[in-house]
Amino acid sequence: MSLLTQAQVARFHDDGFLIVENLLSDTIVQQLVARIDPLFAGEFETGVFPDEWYWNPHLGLPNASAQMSNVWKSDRALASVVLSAKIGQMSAELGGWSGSRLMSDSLWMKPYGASETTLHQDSMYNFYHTPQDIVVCWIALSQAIPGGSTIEYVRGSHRWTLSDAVTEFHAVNQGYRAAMEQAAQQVGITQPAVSLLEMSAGSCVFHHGHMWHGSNKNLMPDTVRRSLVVAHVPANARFKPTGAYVQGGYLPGRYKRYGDDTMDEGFFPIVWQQDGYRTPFLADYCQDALPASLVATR
Amino acid sequence: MTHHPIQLTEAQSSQFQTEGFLVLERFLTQALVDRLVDRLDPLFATQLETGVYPDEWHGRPGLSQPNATRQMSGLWRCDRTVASLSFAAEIARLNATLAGWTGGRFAMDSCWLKPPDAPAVSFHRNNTYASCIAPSTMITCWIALSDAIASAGTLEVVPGSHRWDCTDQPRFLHAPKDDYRQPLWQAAAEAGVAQPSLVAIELPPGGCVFLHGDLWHGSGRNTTTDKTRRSFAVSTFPAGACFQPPGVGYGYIFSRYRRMGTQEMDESFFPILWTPDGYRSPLANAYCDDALLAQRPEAIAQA
Repeated sequence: MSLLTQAQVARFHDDGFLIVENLLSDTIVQQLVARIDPLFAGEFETGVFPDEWYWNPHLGLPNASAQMSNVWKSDRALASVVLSAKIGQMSAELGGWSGSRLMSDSLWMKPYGASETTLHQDSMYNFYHTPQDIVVCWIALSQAIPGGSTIEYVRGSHRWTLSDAVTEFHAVNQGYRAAMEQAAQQVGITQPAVSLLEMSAGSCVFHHGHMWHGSNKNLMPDTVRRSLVVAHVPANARFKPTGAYVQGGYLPGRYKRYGDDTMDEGFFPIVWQQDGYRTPFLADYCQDALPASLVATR
Repeated sequence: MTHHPIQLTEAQSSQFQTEGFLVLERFLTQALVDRLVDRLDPLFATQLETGVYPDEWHGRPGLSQPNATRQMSGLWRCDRTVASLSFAAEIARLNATLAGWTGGRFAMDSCWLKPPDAPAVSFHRNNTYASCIAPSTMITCWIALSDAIASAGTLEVVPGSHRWDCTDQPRFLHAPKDDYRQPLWQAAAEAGVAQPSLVAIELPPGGCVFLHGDLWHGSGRNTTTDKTRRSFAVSTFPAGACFQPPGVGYGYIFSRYRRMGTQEMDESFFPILWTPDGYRSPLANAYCDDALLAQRPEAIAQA
């Protein structure tokens, strides 16, 4: 049974993104939010560190953006959403795949005053696997509103040429949209239209890997913008053949075994497949927080 | 160039067994120290030679207080000049030999940059962070890349504390709110040691100290106004180390690399760097040079 209609899938391919309302219940949102402060303070439920951990209350600036990646390894409440079959199935339907494999997750906390996140294309950092597709699900864990550092997109920009990687997207030395504007010029667009999304906590938006996106500063006093991002690749994805390391391998490149192009399911689990397969260890590791059911979009 | 391994004397080995640490005033040449130091600023500015990110990164610029300690672990993945030291067979041999092992497997590398006014680092035992590994033990070669002096927050150790019967627990080591030696006082009390003696390890750039995994150590605030303390450490597991059963021990940055259905430590993630018969994991030989194969003892003597 499909979770998305053909019209929803078509809209995703036209715009490069698709909003799904109320993916998570308020209860689940609250459960996840309760985990965020302990995680950034280094309290990892499983004892395993996330793959990235930028910002902690001991060394961090008070109003800096805080980010973690692959927090599913550190906390099973977060994992119960990150590893859900439902999100994987929707990614597969949007990507036109027979199954989804988790590439990575990312947890963001942007308090009032937190800096911009430079607009970028996720595919810039995820080019070492084949098929090279990637579909990303951005879940709001607080109300996402303009002025509050909500995610912003350039509608249709997933059809632009893939640009070189933006090297630093936490602390910017130029306008946070500058790299996107440069890419727009290269395809003959002088004034790209930026859409700032409004979503309730628990809603999410799927975007194409080539989609230009980012966020402005959080300009709203007494608010913290929180989000959880889940990135999928096709279930049959493998590493492209390489030498002794994966050039530009970011986080996934760490997990390539020497002389083996397999994306090991221990590190990149298959979360949903048409034939019902799911990587076996997931059943023992955590619950699946999301029931499979049709979704409302706009 | 010919490799001239360092021959540890019986007295040195004995001192390591008794004290839990061993100092070599001269280990790396100044040229090699300079080559490593040149790589550090680009790395902490996110200019990663391989484009692969480190295993742990604290004090990232733009997100951290100006005086924050900058620390990375798993730098070998990011830069092959750094990796040429992380994967040096000589370091694995010395670490393993001091421990009495017949082979050394890479555990982790770590770089610590403490700028002026950088905060203290809590006392701890390195083995506390290896409890998901069987055996839960590693030996560390801690190398000074700048003048390691007490006022700049050099390493402090407690001789003999590797033999204490006491416990430790994983904690965030940077900038503790309480006395950074508090875990040490607690451990000493547990071990029945009334007044533990502290030794500040002072070394010139290129000098090193080998640390037993159970030795209590930490470091104080950098009280200077103009000196950044730089250090680089390489830790080694026994070649035959494996993971504990799932759920046993603290995973830290190690359990990420556990593969499904096996307790084996994969050589792509934890390469074997030295064995008496010359075996090294294929990755280690393919990935980078060995920085210490090109280092002659006469060059060290001039360092």
